[in-house]
Amino acid sequence: MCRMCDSLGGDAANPWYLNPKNYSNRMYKLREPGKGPQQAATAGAIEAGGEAQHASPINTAIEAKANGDMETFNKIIGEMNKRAALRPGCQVVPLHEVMEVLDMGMPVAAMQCICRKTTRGCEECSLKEYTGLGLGTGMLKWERWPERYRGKVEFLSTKQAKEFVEFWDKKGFMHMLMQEGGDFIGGLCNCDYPDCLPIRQRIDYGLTAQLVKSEYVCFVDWDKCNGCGDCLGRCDFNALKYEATTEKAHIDQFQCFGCGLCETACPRNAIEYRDRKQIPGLAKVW
Amino acid sequence: MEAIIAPVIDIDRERCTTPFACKKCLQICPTAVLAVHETRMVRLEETDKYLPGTYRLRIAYRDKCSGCNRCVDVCPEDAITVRMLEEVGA
Ligand code: SF4
Ligand code: SF4
Ligand code: SF4
Ligand code: SF4
Ligand code: SF4
Repeated sequence: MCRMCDSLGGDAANPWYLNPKNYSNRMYKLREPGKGPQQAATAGAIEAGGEAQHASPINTAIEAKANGDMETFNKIIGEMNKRAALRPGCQVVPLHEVMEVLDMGMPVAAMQCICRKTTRGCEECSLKEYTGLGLGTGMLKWERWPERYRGKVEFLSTKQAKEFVEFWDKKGFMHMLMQEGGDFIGGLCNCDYPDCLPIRQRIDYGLTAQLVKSEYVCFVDWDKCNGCGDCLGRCDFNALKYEATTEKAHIDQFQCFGCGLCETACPRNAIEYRDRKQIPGLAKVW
Repeated sequence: MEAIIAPVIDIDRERCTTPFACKKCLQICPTAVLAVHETRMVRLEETDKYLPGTYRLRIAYRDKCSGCNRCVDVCPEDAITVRMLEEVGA
C-alpha cells in the first residue's frame, strides 16, 4: 500500500481513487468560498504581475541548477520532498481504471489544461480542444476558483467523459488523478512530457511526491510481441524502447510508471499489467 | 561530475509585448524552456491576448536551455538573446 492509500482510505484490493468517499462533498467542504489558500496567494501576485509571483522554492532550485550550483539545488529539492511526503500530489492511473473512476457517477466537466497553455501557448477554448477533466461534487461550484478554471467548463455525461478520455489516450496522453494532500480530488488530467508540470517536476527535478507511479508495472509478453513498434513513442517516462537484440519491445521495470499507454497502443495484447505491490523489488518504487 | 552552466536568456519585454498571441518561441523550443503567464485576470474572463502587457513571457526551465538559438531565430521582434556566461562577461 502506498502512502496515498494510507491517507485516503484505500486497501490492497481497491486503491484510494476507487473509493467513492473521496469524491464526496466532505472533501470540498475543507475549502470555504473565496478563501482558498491558493486564490489568496495568486490574486495579489497576479495583479502585481512581478517576478515575485514566481519566487517559489522550485524556481529558486532551477535557477541554482542553471548556474551550476548543485548543492543548493539538491538542498531545496530534498526539503521539498520531505515536506511533500506527507502531502503527495498526483498519481498515474491507466485507462481501464480511469473508466472505473468515471463509472462512479460523480459530476465530470471538461476544462482547459493550464500546463499546456503556459508552456506551449495552447489555447483550449471549447469541448473539442479541452484536455483536462474536473471531477466530483466540487465541480458544481467551479466558479469559486476562477483562477483554476479560467472562465469555462463543460459538463459531460459518463459516456461522453469516457469517450473524451479514450480520445486523448489514443492521441498519446497519459492519465493522472490530481489530489491535494487529501483535501480534495482536483481532477483527471491527460498529459505528456514536456508540457505537463507534474511530469516535469518528477522527471527533471526529482520531486518524487509530485507524481506518484501507478499501482502497476507493465511487462512485454515476448511470445506475443512481434516487434511491430506501434507502442514505441508512447512512453513519457523513458521506460520503453525497441530492443534490437531480441527484436521486441523492451520495458525498463524501474523506469515504468505503469501508465498503460504502450498497452492501449498494442494491437497484439502483448503488454500486461502487474501489480507493483506484488513484485518484491518494485513494491516500494513509487 | 562537472556542473553544467546553462546559457543566460534575456527577454526584451519592450519588444515582446503580446507573447500569448505570438507564442512562436514557446512552440519551437525543443525542451520547452519558456512559459507564458497572464499578468491580469478579470473575473471569469480571459484577458485580451492582443492587448500589450496582458501576458508575460518568462524563463521557466533555464537549466534545460542548450543555447540552440531556435527561439532567437524564430522571434519576429528580436526580443530574445541567448548567450553563454563568458560572453556576458561574468
Ligand atoms: S497536469 Fe496535465 S492536463 Fe493537467 S494542467 Fe498539467 S498538463 Fe494539463
Ligand atoms: S512502459 Fe508503458 S506503461 Fe510503462 S511508463 Fe512507458 S508507456 Fe507507460
Ligand atoms: S505494439 Fe505490441 S507487438 Fe508491437 S512492438 Fe509494441 S508490444 Fe510488441
Ligand atoms: S517569439 Fe519573440 S515576440 Fe514572439 S512570444 Fe517569443 S519573444 Fe515574444
Ligand atoms: S536557445 Fe534553444 S533551448 Fe534555449 S530557450 Fe531558445 S530554443 Fe529553447
